[in-house]
Amino acid sequence: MQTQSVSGRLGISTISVAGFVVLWQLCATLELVDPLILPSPWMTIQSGIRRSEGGELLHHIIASVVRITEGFFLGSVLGILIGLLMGQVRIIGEALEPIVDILRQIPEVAWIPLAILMFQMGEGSKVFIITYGALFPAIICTFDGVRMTDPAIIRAARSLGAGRGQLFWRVTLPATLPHIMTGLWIGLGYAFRGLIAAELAGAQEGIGFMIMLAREDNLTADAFMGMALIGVIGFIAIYGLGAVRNRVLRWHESTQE
Amino acid sequence: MNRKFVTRVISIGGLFTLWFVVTKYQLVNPLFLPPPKDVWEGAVDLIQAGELREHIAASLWRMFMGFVVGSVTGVVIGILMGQFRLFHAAVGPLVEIIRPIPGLAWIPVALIWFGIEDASKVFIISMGVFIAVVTNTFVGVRSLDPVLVRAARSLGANHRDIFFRVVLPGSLPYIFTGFRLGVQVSFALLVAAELVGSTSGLGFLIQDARNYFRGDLVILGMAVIGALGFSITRLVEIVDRWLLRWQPTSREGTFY
Repeated sequence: MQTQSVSGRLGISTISVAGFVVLWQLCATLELVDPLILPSPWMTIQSGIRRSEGGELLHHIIASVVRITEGFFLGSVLGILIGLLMGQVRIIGEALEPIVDILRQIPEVAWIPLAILMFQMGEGSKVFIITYGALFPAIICTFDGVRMTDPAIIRAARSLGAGRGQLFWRVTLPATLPHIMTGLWIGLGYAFRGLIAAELAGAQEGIGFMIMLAREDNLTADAFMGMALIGVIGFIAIYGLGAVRNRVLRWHESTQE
Repeated sequence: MNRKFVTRVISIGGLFTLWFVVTKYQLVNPLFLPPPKDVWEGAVDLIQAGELREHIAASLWRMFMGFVVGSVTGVVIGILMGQFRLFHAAVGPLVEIIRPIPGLAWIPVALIWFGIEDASKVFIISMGVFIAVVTNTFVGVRSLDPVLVRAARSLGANHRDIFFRVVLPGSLPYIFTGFRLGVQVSFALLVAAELVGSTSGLGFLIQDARNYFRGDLVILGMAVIGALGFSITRLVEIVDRWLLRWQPTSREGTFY
């Protein structure tokens, strides 16, 4: 086992994935499985090409991307502000902590029916769900970050003559940044989950809507294509946030590898 | 009576007072924020009719089944991937392909494959649990100190001994982290799956209540979902800590 080379293992991986795809395709070609149950890889690609014509697919992608961008941005900014406020002003932190503790137990997907009652089927309900998902990890991580700032550093800055403003901008905020990035990281996952769920549960556009419609029309190939698309978009979003994190935390030990 | 407890009571009491006042003067549309009294009465009705218990039982059963299926397959495949390089080379990439797809995106396909009954939800939950468990199990087996294995071997342990006495206990902390993350993730998955296509369960309860514009039952359902989610997470944490009480260091999970 130990003697196996890296290229050898890479070869096995390639063969494995290729074999899987070929087997999958064969299932369909030899009509072993009903294509309504398991469409072939080729059918999935074809469905992507067919849906791309007339810009339909792009329309759904844009709808989803716009929603997640709006909701994630709103939730993150709100969350960071609330978290900072809770960390900086003791009375606010103590007053809000129990409420945050209760609200964060309710997953964002459980808000969908209420959000639809509040905003009907419009964009508001989706953005609300996504914002909710991003909000609580941002609040909690920011709050924790402020509280966990090393008191020795704060005392040192103060004894060197730093004012309140300087203390916040030069000490507390940089010390909290790694925590904030963690909050955004977790929040992105929840926001993404909220997006898909909200689109599945009731929407007129978006990728989640597209795969739900595919289910109603028994177009399994479309559902497969949409799932792959969701995976790709999620991957890009995570990768993008990772890049932002590495840039923002250039100076931090966690990015020095 | 410490300060923390007092502020906690004041804060939550304040929230309820706000709710009471806002609904009394109808400052918010009662359609989605009914007065506390309505929610209470709705709760009493639902409990007396035995409906709430049925929905909770349906959700918990799906959760349990999905957890069993997902964690067993996750542990087995994760250990095989960790122990055998060849198996890892062959199966690893397939797991990597599935991993970025959120469990929620499986819902429509699961409904096509397994219909609207329990099986589709069990599939979705097991998918969420599987991804969390397989990843952490693999990392656990791989991060085992090779010195321990060599020491066991030089002391005369055979393959079976090494596996059951060294590899398995050594990777248990990671496996449990996988369980914990899997449970946390899959509870929200379950609610979403029940919202989208089901005839029972807590997700169905709130979606059905919305269809009938029963804001009181929606809020009640959300409260039950929150409480249940909290209890399940807590339970897993307690079990986790108890089973691994021999393990001194704190652990972190790898999910992405």
